[in-house]
Amino acid sequence: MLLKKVEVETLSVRARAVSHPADPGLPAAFERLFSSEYRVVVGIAHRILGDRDAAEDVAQEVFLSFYGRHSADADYAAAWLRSAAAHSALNHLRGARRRTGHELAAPPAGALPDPSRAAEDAERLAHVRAALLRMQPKSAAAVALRASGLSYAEVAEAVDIKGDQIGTFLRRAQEALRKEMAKWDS
Amino acid sequence: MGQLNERSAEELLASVDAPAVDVPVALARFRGVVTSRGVSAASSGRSGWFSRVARLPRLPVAVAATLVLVIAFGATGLADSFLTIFQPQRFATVQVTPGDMRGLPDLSAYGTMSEPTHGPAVTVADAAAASAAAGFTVLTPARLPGAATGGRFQVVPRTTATFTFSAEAARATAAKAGRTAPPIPAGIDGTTLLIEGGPTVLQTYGAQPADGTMPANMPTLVVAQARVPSVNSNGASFEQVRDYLLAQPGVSPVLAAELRAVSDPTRTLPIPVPAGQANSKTVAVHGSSGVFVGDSTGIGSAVIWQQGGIVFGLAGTLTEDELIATANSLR
Repeated sequence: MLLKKVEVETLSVRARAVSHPADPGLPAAFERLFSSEYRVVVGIAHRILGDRDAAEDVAQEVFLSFYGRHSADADYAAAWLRSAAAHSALNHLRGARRRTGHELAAPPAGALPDPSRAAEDAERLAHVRAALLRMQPKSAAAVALRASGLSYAEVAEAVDIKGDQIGTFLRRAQEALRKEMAKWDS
Repeated sequence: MGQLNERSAEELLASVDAPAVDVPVALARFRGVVTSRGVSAASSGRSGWFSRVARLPRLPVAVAATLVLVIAFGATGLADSFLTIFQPQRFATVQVTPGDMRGLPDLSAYGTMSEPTHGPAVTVADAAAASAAAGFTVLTPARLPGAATGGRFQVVPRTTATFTFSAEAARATAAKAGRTAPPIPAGIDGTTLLIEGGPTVLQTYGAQPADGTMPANMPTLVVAQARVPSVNSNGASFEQVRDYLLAQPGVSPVLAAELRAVSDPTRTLPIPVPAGQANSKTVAVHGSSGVFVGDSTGIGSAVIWQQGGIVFGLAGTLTEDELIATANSLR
Protein backbone atom coordinates (compact mmCIF):
# COMPACT_ATOMS: atom_id res chain seq x y z
CA MET A 1 0.00 0.00 0.00
CA LEU A 2 2.75 2.39 1.01
CA LEU A 3 4.81 1.56 -2.03
CA LYS A 4 1.83 2.06 -4.33
CA LYS A 5 1.27 5.44 -2.71
CA VAL A 6 4.88 6.36 -3.31
CA GLU A 7 4.61 5.29 -6.93
CA VAL A 8 1.55 7.48 -7.42
CA GLU A 9 3.31 10.40 -5.78
CA THR A 10 6.35 9.80 -7.90
CA LEU A 11 4.30 9.89 -11.06
CA SER A 12 2.58 13.07 -9.96
CA VAL A 13 5.93 14.56 -9.04
CA ARG A 14 7.37 13.71 -12.42
CA ALA A 15 4.36 15.34 -14.05
CA ARG A 16 4.87 18.46 -11.97
CA ALA A 17 8.57 18.53 -12.73
CA VAL A 18 7.70 19.08 -16.37
CA SER A 19 5.41 22.03 -15.71
CA HIS A 20 7.32 23.45 -12.71
CA PRO A 21 10.97 22.82 -13.32
CA ALA A 22 12.06 25.23 -10.57
CA ASP A 23 11.50 22.92 -7.60
CA PRO A 24 13.19 24.15 -4.43
CA GLY A 25 16.66 22.70 -4.06
CA LEU A 26 17.85 20.42 -1.32
CA PRO A 27 20.64 21.48 1.02
CA ALA A 28 24.00 20.85 -0.63
CA ALA A 29 25.14 18.66 2.25
CA PHE A 30 22.08 16.47 1.84
CA GLU A 31 22.60 16.13 -1.93
CA ARG A 32 26.17 15.01 -1.27
CA LEU A 33 24.96 12.50 1.29
CA PHE A 34 22.26 11.21 -1.06
CA SER A 35 24.74 10.87 -3.93
CA SER A 36 27.28 8.99 -1.87
CA GLU A 37 24.88 6.70 0.01
CA TYR A 38 21.96 6.02 -2.34
CA ARG A 39 23.61 3.04 -4.08
CA VAL A 40 24.62 1.56 -0.74
CA VAL A 41 21.14 1.96 0.72
CA VAL A 42 19.45 0.45 -2.36
CA GLY A 43 22.00 -2.37 -2.37
CA ILE A 44 21.20 -3.29 1.22
CA ALA A 45 17.44 -3.19 0.65
CA HIS A 46 17.77 -5.16 -2.59
CA ARG A 47 19.78 -7.90 -0.89
CA ILE A 48 16.93 -8.35 1.57
CA LEU A 49 14.01 -7.87 -0.82
CA GLY A 50 15.37 -9.23 -4.11
CA ASP A 51 13.36 -6.63 -6.00
CA ARG A 52 15.00 -3.48 -7.38
CA ASP A 53 11.85 -1.34 -7.56
CA ALA A 54 10.85 -2.23 -4.02
CA ALA A 55 14.44 -1.56 -2.87
CA GLU A 56 14.40 1.89 -4.46
CA ASP A 57 11.05 2.64 -2.82
CA VAL A 58 12.45 1.62 0.55
CA ALA A 59 15.52 3.80 -0.09
CA GLN A 60 13.33 6.81 -0.88
CA GLU A 61 11.40 6.33 2.37
CA VAL A 62 14.61 5.92 4.35
CA PHE A 63 16.10 9.13 2.94
CA LEU A 64 12.81 10.93 3.49
CA SER A 65 12.68 9.77 7.08
CA PHE A 66 16.24 11.01 7.58
CA TYR A 67 15.78 14.27 5.71
CA GLY A 68 13.10 15.74 7.95
CA ARG A 69 14.71 14.74 11.22
CA HIS A 70 18.47 14.71 11.00
CA SER A 71 21.17 16.99 9.74
CA ALA A 72 23.04 15.70 6.70
CA ASP A 73 26.21 16.81 8.50
CA ALA A 74 25.54 14.47 11.41
CA ASP A 75 28.45 12.13 11.99
CA TYR A 76 26.05 9.21 12.26
CA ALA A 77 24.30 9.95 8.93
CA ALA A 78 25.69 7.05 6.86
CA ALA A 79 25.34 4.56 9.69
CA TRP A 80 21.75 5.67 10.33
CA LEU A 81 20.80 5.33 6.64
CA ARG A 82 22.35 1.87 6.33
CA SER A 83 20.74 0.62 9.49
CA ALA A 84 17.39 2.07 8.46
CA ALA A 85 17.73 0.46 5.03
CA ALA A 86 18.15 -2.98 6.57
CA HIS A 87 15.37 -2.58 9.11
CA SER A 88 12.94 -0.98 6.64
CA ALA A 89 13.57 -3.70 4.08
CA LEU A 90 13.03 -6.39 6.71
CA ASN A 91 9.79 -4.68 7.75
CA HIS A 92 8.70 -4.44 4.13
CA LEU A 93 9.45 -8.11 3.62
CA ARG A 94 7.50 -8.97 6.74
CA GLY A 95 4.54 -6.94 5.53
CA ALA A 96 4.66 -8.54 2.10
CA ARG A 97 4.67 -12.02 3.63
CA ARG A 98 1.77 -11.12 5.90
CA ARG A 99 -0.23 -9.86 2.95
CA THR A 100 0.43 -12.89 0.77
CA GLY A 101 0.29 -15.33 3.67
CA HIS A 102 2.98 -17.63 2.31
CA GLU A 103 6.68 -17.91 1.65
CA LEU A 104 8.16 -15.49 -0.81
CA ALA A 105 8.30 -16.52 -4.38
CA ALA A 106 11.79 -17.41 -5.54
CA PRO A 107 13.20 -15.19 -8.27
CA PRO A 108 13.12 -16.59 -11.81
CA ALA A 109 15.94 -19.08 -12.25
CA GLY A 110 16.32 -18.40 -15.95
CA ALA A 111 18.08 -15.14 -15.18
CA LEU A 112 21.06 -17.05 -13.82
CA PRO A 113 23.70 -18.95 -15.82
CA ASP A 114 23.25 -22.55 -14.60
CA PRO A 115 19.50 -23.20 -14.54
CA SER A 116 19.48 -26.22 -12.21
CA ARG A 117 21.96 -24.73 -9.73
CA ALA A 118 20.33 -21.35 -10.11
CA ALA A 119 16.90 -22.72 -9.31
CA GLU A 120 18.22 -24.33 -6.15
CA ASP A 121 20.07 -21.16 -5.12
CA ALA A 122 17.01 -19.04 -5.83
CA GLU A 123 14.78 -21.24 -3.71
CA ARG A 124 17.34 -21.30 -0.94
CA LEU A 125 17.78 -17.53 -1.09
CA ALA A 126 14.04 -17.07 -0.58
CA HIS A 127 14.35 -19.19 2.53
CA VAL A 128 17.39 -17.24 3.74
CA ARG A 129 15.25 -14.11 3.58
CA ALA A 130 12.39 -15.82 5.40
CA ALA A 131 14.89 -16.97 8.05
CA LEU A 132 16.09 -13.39 8.54
CA LEU A 133 12.56 -12.45 9.56
CA ARG A 134 12.56 -15.05 12.31
CA MET A 135 15.74 -13.62 13.85
CA GLN A 136 16.17 -10.70 16.23
CA PRO A 137 15.95 -7.61 13.98
CA LYS A 138 19.35 -6.31 15.03
CA SER A 139 21.03 -9.63 14.27
CA ALA A 140 19.25 -9.95 10.93
CA ALA A 141 20.25 -6.40 10.01
CA ALA A 142 23.87 -7.08 10.94
CA VAL A 143 23.99 -10.20 8.73
CA ALA A 144 22.42 -8.33 5.81
CA LEU A 145 24.75 -5.36 6.21
CA ARG A 146 27.83 -7.57 6.35
CA ALA A 147 26.61 -9.48 3.28
CA SER A 148 26.20 -6.09 1.58
CA GLY A 149 29.94 -5.54 1.81
CA LEU A 150 30.11 -3.29 4.87
CA SER A 151 33.25 -3.61 6.97
CA TYR A 152 33.08 -4.86 10.55
CA ALA A 153 33.50 -1.26 11.75
CA GLU A 154 30.69 -0.04 9.49
CA VAL A 155 28.35 -2.82 10.63
CA ALA A 156 29.24 -2.06 14.26
CA GLU A 157 28.35 1.59 13.81
CA ALA A 158 25.13 0.81 11.96
CA VAL A 159 23.78 -1.63 14.53
CA ASP A 160 25.25 0.27 17.47
CA ILE A 161 27.54 -2.43 18.79
CA LYS A 162 30.94 -1.58 20.25
CA GLY A 163 33.75 -2.14 17.78
CA ASP A 164 35.49 -4.76 19.87
CA GLN A 165 32.26 -6.77 20.22
CA ILE A 166 31.06 -6.78 16.64
CA GLY A 167 33.00 -9.92 15.67
CA THR A 168 31.31 -11.94 18.38
CA PHE A 169 27.94 -10.35 17.64
CA LEU A 170 28.21 -11.18 13.94
CA ARG A 171 29.32 -14.75 14.61
CA ARG A 172 26.31 -15.26 16.87
CA ALA A 173 24.00 -13.65 14.31
CA GLN A 174 25.34 -15.89 11.55
CA GLU A 175 24.96 -18.91 13.81
CA ALA A 176 21.35 -17.89 14.49
CA LEU A 177 20.76 -17.68 10.75
CA ARG A 178 22.25 -21.14 10.24
CA LYS A 179 19.98 -22.52 12.96
CA GLU A 180 16.93 -20.99 11.31
CA MET A 181 18.03 -22.46 7.99
CA ALA A 182 18.62 -25.85 9.59
CA LYS A 183 15.00 -25.90 10.73
CA TRP A 184 13.98 -25.46 7.11
CA ASP A 185 16.51 -28.02 5.86
CA SER A 186 15.25 -30.62 8.30
CA MET B 1 18.49 -29.82 0.46
CA GLY B 2 21.32 -29.63 2.93
CA GLN B 3 24.09 -30.91 0.62
CA LEU B 4 27.60 -30.31 1.84
CA ASN B 5 28.62 -28.43 -1.27
CA GLU B 6 25.78 -25.95 -1.24
CA ARG B 7 26.51 -22.30 -0.58
CA SER B 8 26.01 -21.00 2.93
CA ALA B 9 23.20 -18.61 3.74
CA GLU B 10 25.66 -15.72 4.06
CA GLU B 11 27.36 -16.59 0.78
CA LEU B 12 24.02 -16.66 -0.97
CA LEU B 13 23.05 -13.29 0.44
CA ALA B 14 26.44 -11.85 -0.47
CA SER B 15 26.09 -13.20 -4.01
CA VAL B 16 23.09 -10.98 -4.77
CA ASP B 17 24.30 -8.36 -7.20
CA ALA B 18 23.67 -4.71 -6.37
CA PRO B 19 21.17 -3.39 -8.91
CA ALA B 20 22.09 -0.68 -11.36
CA VAL B 21 20.59 2.59 -10.17
CA ASP B 22 20.50 6.06 -11.67
CA VAL B 23 21.38 8.35 -8.76
CA PRO B 24 20.52 11.68 -10.47
CA VAL B 25 17.09 10.33 -11.42
CA ALA B 26 16.58 9.03 -7.89
CA LEU B 27 17.61 12.42 -6.50
CA ALA B 28 15.14 14.19 -8.80
CA ARG B 29 12.43 11.77 -7.69
CA PHE B 30 13.33 12.40 -4.06
CA ARG B 31 13.22 16.15 -4.58
CA GLY B 32 9.73 15.75 -5.99
CA VAL B 33 8.50 13.67 -3.06
CA VAL B 34 9.92 16.23 -0.63
CA THR B 35 8.05 18.97 -2.46
CA SER B 36 4.78 17.08 -2.71
CA ARG B 37 4.78 16.11 0.95
CA GLY B 38 5.99 19.52 2.11
CA VAL B 39 8.88 18.06 4.12
CA SER B 40 11.50 20.50 5.38
CA ALA B 41 15.12 19.60 5.96
CA ALA B 42 16.18 19.21 9.56
CA SER B 43 18.41 22.04 10.70
CA SER B 44 22.05 21.38 11.42
CA GLY B 45 21.24 21.78 15.07
CA ARG B 46 23.56 21.87 17.98
CA SER B 47 25.43 18.86 19.16
CA GLY B 48 26.11 17.56 22.61
CA TRP B 49 24.26 15.87 25.36
CA PHE B 50 22.60 18.88 26.97
CA SER B 51 21.32 20.41 23.75
CA ARG B 52 19.88 17.06 22.64
CA VAL B 53 18.26 16.30 25.95
CA ALA B 54 16.96 19.83 26.30
CA ARG B 55 14.87 19.30 23.18
CA LEU B 56 13.09 16.23 24.49
CA PRO B 57 10.71 17.91 26.96
CA ARG B 58 9.30 20.05 24.17
CA LEU B 59 8.03 16.95 22.39
CA PRO B 60 4.32 16.52 21.97
CA VAL B 61 2.65 13.68 23.79
CA ALA B 62 3.99 10.85 21.74
CA VAL B 63 4.04 7.11 21.50
CA ALA B 64 7.14 6.62 23.58
CA ALA B 65 5.95 9.19 26.04
CA THR B 66 2.73 7.24 26.31
CA LEU B 67 4.51 3.95 26.70
CA VAL B 68 6.64 5.55 29.38
CA LEU B 69 3.92 7.62 31.02
CA VAL B 70 1.75 4.63 30.93
CA ILE B 71 4.30 3.21 33.18
CA ALA B 72 4.52 5.99 35.62
CA PHE B 73 1.25 4.84 37.15
CA GLY B 74 -0.15 1.71 38.91
CA ALA B 75 -3.28 -0.46 38.89
CA THR B 76 -6.20 -0.97 41.22
CA GLY B 77 -9.98 -1.18 41.04
CA LEU B 78 -10.38 -1.85 37.34
CA ALA B 79 -13.77 -1.95 35.74
CA ASP B 80 -14.73 -5.49 34.73
CA SER B 81 -14.58 -4.70 31.02
CA PHE B 82 -10.90 -3.70 31.16
CA LEU B 83 -8.07 -6.14 30.83
CA THR B 84 -4.52 -5.29 31.83
CA ILE B 85 -2.48 -5.25 28.63
CA PHE B 86 0.74 -3.78 29.98
CA GLN B 87 2.33 -3.94 33.41
CA PRO B 88 6.10 -3.64 33.59
CA GLN B 89 8.07 -6.10 35.63
CA ARG B 90 11.41 -5.35 34.03
CA PHE B 91 13.12 -2.74 31.88
CA ALA B 92 15.03 -2.67 28.61
CA THR B 93 16.89 0.19 26.99
CA VAL B 94 16.13 1.39 23.47
CA GLN B 95 18.62 3.58 21.64
CA VAL B 96 16.99 6.75 20.31
CA THR B 97 18.19 9.82 18.48
CA PRO B 98 16.51 13.20 18.95
CA GLY B 99 15.18 12.70 15.42
CA ASP B 100 13.62 9.37 16.42
CA MET B 101 11.81 11.11 19.23
CA ARG B 102 10.65 13.99 17.08
CA GLY B 103 9.38 11.50 14.49
CA LEU B 104 6.97 9.87 16.90
CA PRO B 105 3.36 10.73 16.16
CA ASP B 106 1.43 13.06 18.42
CA LEU B 107 -1.05 10.82 20.24
CA SER B 108 -3.65 13.56 20.34
CA ALA B 109 -3.96 13.02 16.59
CA TYR B 110 -5.40 9.56 17.15
CA GLY B 111 -8.06 10.14 19.77
CA THR B 112 -8.87 11.82 23.04
CA MET B 113 -6.70 11.88 26.14
CA SER B 114 -8.35 12.75 29.44
CA GLU B 115 -6.59 14.98 31.92
CA PRO B 116 -4.85 12.80 34.51
CA THR B 117 -6.92 12.72 37.69
CA HIS B 118 -5.19 12.77 41.01
CA GLY B 119 -5.12 14.80 44.18
CA PRO B 120 -2.39 17.35 44.84
CA ALA B 121 1.12 16.21 45.73
CA VAL B 122 1.72 16.64 49.44
CA THR B 123 4.96 17.20 51.29
CA VAL B 124 5.28 15.10 54.43
CA ALA B 125 7.72 15.15 57.33
CA ASP B 126 9.52 11.86 56.93
CA ALA B 127 9.57 8.34 55.53
CA ALA B 128 7.07 7.05 58.07
CA ALA B 129 4.53 9.69 57.08
CA ALA B 130 5.21 9.00 53.41
CA SER B 131 4.66 5.28 53.96
CA ALA B 132 1.35 5.93 55.70
CA ALA B 133 0.15 8.21 52.90
CA ALA B 134 1.31 5.93 50.05
CA GLY B 135 0.22 2.61 51.55
CA PHE B 136 3.59 0.92 51.04
CA THR B 137 6.88 0.97 52.92
CA VAL B 138 9.09 3.83 51.80
CA LEU B 139 12.80 2.98 51.86
CA THR B 140 15.49 5.59 52.48
CA PRO B 141 19.22 5.54 51.69
CA ALA B 142 21.30 4.41 54.65
CA ARG B 143 24.25 6.24 53.14
CA LEU B 144 24.19 9.40 51.09
CA PRO B 145 26.84 10.45 48.59
CA GLY B 146 29.04 13.31 49.78
CA ALA B 147 27.27 16.25 48.20
CA ALA B 148 23.76 15.15 49.18
CA THR B 149 22.19 16.52 52.30
CA GLY B 150 18.82 16.72 54.01
CA GLY B 151 15.82 15.00 52.51
CA ARG B 152 12.37 16.10 51.39
CA PHE B 153 9.45 13.68 51.02
CA GLN B 154 6.58 14.23 48.58
CA VAL B 155 3.65 11.90 47.95
CA VAL B 156 1.79 12.00 44.63
CA PRO B 157 -1.56 10.18 45.01
CA ARG B 158 -2.76 7.43 42.69
CA THR B 159 -3.37 8.76 39.19
CA THR B 160 -5.62 7.64 36.37
CA ALA B 161 -5.96 8.82 32.79
CA THR B 162 -7.79 7.50 29.76
CA PHE B 163 -7.12 7.62 26.06
CA THR B 164 -9.75 6.67 23.48
CA PHE B 165 -8.74 5.94 19.88
CA SER B 166 -10.82 7.62 17.19
CA ALA B 167 -10.68 6.93 13.46
CA GLU B 168 -12.37 10.28 12.91
CA ALA B 169 -9.67 12.16 14.85
CA ALA B 170 -6.95 10.34 12.90
CA ARG B 171 -8.64 11.23 9.58
CA ALA B 172 -9.11 14.88 10.57
CA THR B 173 -5.48 15.28 11.63
CA ALA B 174 -4.21 13.63 8.48
CA ALA B 175 -6.45 15.82 6.32
CA LYS B 176 -5.12 18.93 8.08
CA ALA B 177 -1.59 17.78 7.21
CA GLY B 178 -2.59 17.04 3.63
CA ARG B 179 -2.13 13.30 4.03
CA THR B 180 -4.35 10.27 3.85
CA ALA B 181 -4.67 8.57 7.21
CA PRO B 182 -3.53 4.96 7.30
CA PRO B 183 -6.59 2.78 8.01
CA ILE B 184 -7.23 2.35 11.71
CA PRO B 185 -7.82 -1.34 12.48
CA ALA B 186 -11.38 -2.15 13.50
CA GLY B 187 -10.25 -3.49 16.87
CA ILE B 188 -8.58 -0.20 17.77
CA ASP B 189 -11.18 2.39 16.77
CA GLY B 190 -13.15 3.18 19.93
CA THR B 191 -10.82 1.29 22.24
CA THR B 192 -10.22 3.07 25.54
CA LEU B 193 -6.96 2.66 27.38
CA LEU B 194 -7.12 3.16 31.12
CA ILE B 195 -3.76 4.15 32.50
CA GLU B 196 -3.29 3.79 36.23
CA GLY B 197 -0.34 4.42 38.45
CA GLY B 198 0.93 5.44 41.80
CA PRO B 199 0.93 6.48 44.49
CA THR B 200 4.45 7.74 44.01
CA VAL B 201 6.83 8.90 46.71
CA LEU B 202 9.70 11.22 45.77
CA GLN B 203 12.67 11.91 48.02
CA THR B 204 15.01 14.70 47.04
CA TYR B 205 18.38 15.30 48.60
CA GLY B 206 20.93 17.98 48.70
CA ALA B 207 21.86 20.96 46.61
CA GLN B 208 25.04 21.35 44.69
CA PRO B 209 27.58 23.81 46.01
CA ALA B 210 26.92 27.23 44.53
CA ASP B 211 30.04 27.29 42.36
CA GLY B 212 28.14 28.01 39.17
CA THR B 213 28.59 24.54 37.69
CA MET B 214 24.97 23.55 38.29
CA PRO B 215 21.68 25.45 38.35
CA ALA B 216 20.64 26.58 41.81
CA ASN B 217 18.49 24.15 43.81
CA MET B 218 19.22 21.26 41.47
CA PRO B 219 18.92 18.13 43.60
CA THR B 220 21.93 15.87 43.90
CA LEU B 221 19.78 12.79 44.30
CA VAL B 222 16.15 11.89 43.66
CA VAL B 223 14.73 8.61 44.89
CA ALA B 224 11.33 7.58 43.49
CA GLN B 225 9.15 4.70 44.55
CA ALA B 226 5.79 3.87 42.97
CA ARG B 227 3.37 1.01 42.68
CA VAL B 228 3.88 -0.77 39.37
CA PRO B 229 1.77 1.06 36.78
CA SER B 230 -0.56 -0.59 34.31
CA VAL B 231 -2.31 0.03 31.04
CA ASN B 232 -5.71 -1.57 30.66
CA SER B 233 -7.81 -1.88 27.55
CA ASN B 234 -11.49 -2.51 26.88
CA GLY B 235 -10.77 -3.60 23.30
CA ALA B 236 -7.49 -3.80 21.44
CA SER B 237 -4.58 -5.90 22.63
CA PHE B 238 -1.15 -4.50 23.45
CA GLU B 239 0.25 -5.85 20.18
CA GLN B 240 -2.54 -4.25 18.13
CA VAL B 241 -1.99 -0.85 19.75
CA ARG B 242 1.78 -1.06 19.44
CA ASP B 243 1.76 -2.22 15.83
CA TYR B 244 -0.75 0.45 14.80
CA LEU B 245 1.21 3.29 16.39
CA LEU B 246 4.57 2.08 15.14
CA ALA B 247 3.20 1.82 11.60
CA GLN B 248 2.45 5.55 11.49
CA PRO B 249 4.41 7.68 9.04
CA GLY B 250 7.33 9.44 10.64
CA VAL B 251 8.15 6.68 13.09
CA SER B 252 11.80 5.81 12.57
CA PRO B 253 12.05 2.27 11.15
CA VAL B 254 15.05 1.64 13.36
CA LEU B 255 13.19 2.66 16.51
CA ALA B 256 10.12 0.68 15.43
CA ALA B 257 12.26 -2.42 14.91
CA GLU B 258 13.95 -1.93 18.27
CA LEU B 259 10.59 -1.60 20.05
CA ARG B 260 9.15 -4.62 18.25
CA ALA B 261 12.23 -6.62 19.23
CA VAL B 262 11.69 -6.06 22.97
CA SER B 263 11.09 -9.49 24.42
CA ASP B 264 8.15 -10.09 26.77
CA PRO B 265 6.77 -6.72 25.64
CA THR B 266 3.65 -6.63 27.81
CA ARG B 267 5.82 -6.75 30.92
CA THR B 268 8.89 -4.82 29.76
CA LEU B 269 9.18 -1.05 29.87
CA PRO B 270 11.44 0.38 27.16
CA ILE B 271 13.71 3.11 28.52
CA PRO B 272 14.77 5.54 25.78
CA VAL B 273 18.51 6.19 25.85
CA PRO B 274 20.08 8.90 23.65
CA ALA B 275 22.17 7.06 21.06
CA GLY B 276 25.87 7.75 21.40
CA GLN B 277 25.29 10.11 24.30
CA ALA B 278 24.61 7.75 27.15
CA ASN B 279 25.76 4.35 28.33
CA SER B 280 23.35 1.77 29.63
CA LYS B 281 23.71 -1.66 31.11
CA THR B 282 21.98 -4.23 33.24
CA VAL B 283 22.89 -4.08 36.91
CA ALA B 284 21.96 -6.03 40.02
CA VAL B 285 20.32 -3.91 42.70
CA HIS B 286 18.95 -5.40 45.91
CA GLY B 287 19.12 -8.80 44.27
CA SER B 288 16.91 -7.68 41.37
CA SER B 289 17.89 -6.96 37.80
CA GLY B 290 17.76 -3.28 36.92
CA VAL B 291 18.90 -0.92 34.21
CA PHE B 292 21.59 1.71 34.72
CA VAL B 293 21.85 4.70 32.39
CA GLY B 294 24.64 7.24 32.58
CA ASP B 295 25.58 10.01 30.23
CA SER B 296 28.96 9.79 28.54
CA THR B 297 30.35 12.75 30.47
CA GLY B 298 29.68 11.30 33.92
CA ILE B 299 27.53 14.29 34.86
CA GLY B 300 24.33 12.37 35.46
CA SER B 301 23.14 8.82 35.99
CA ALA B 302 20.00 6.87 36.84
CA VAL B 303 19.00 3.35 37.78
CA ILE B 304 15.56 1.71 37.76
CA TRP B 305 14.34 -1.67 38.95
CA GLN B 306 11.21 -3.40 40.20
CA GLN B 307 10.78 -5.42 43.34
CA GLY B 308 7.66 -6.70 45.08
CA GLY B 309 5.26 -4.70 42.92
CA ILE B 310 7.12 -1.44 43.55
CA VAL B 311 9.18 0.39 40.91
CA PHE B 312 12.31 2.03 42.32
CA GLY B 313 14.24 4.75 40.52
CA LEU B 314 17.27 6.76 41.58
CA ALA B 315 18.74 9.61 39.57
CA GLY B 316 21.32 12.22 40.33
CA THR B 317 24.46 14.09 39.51
CA LEU B 318 26.48 11.13 40.68
CA THR B 319 28.95 8.62 39.33
CA GLU B 320 27.81 5.08 38.64
CA ASP B 321 29.56 3.72 41.75
CA GLU B 322 27.99 6.37 43.98
CA LEU B 323 24.53 5.82 42.55
CA ILE B 324 24.58 2.02 42.77
CA ALA B 325 26.00 2.13 46.29
CA THR B 326 23.23 4.52 47.31
CA ALA B 327 20.60 2.29 45.65
CA ASN B 328 21.89 -0.77 47.47
CA SER B 329 21.80 1.12 50.77
CA LEU B 330 18.02 1.64 50.66
CA ARG B 331 16.51 0.30 53.87
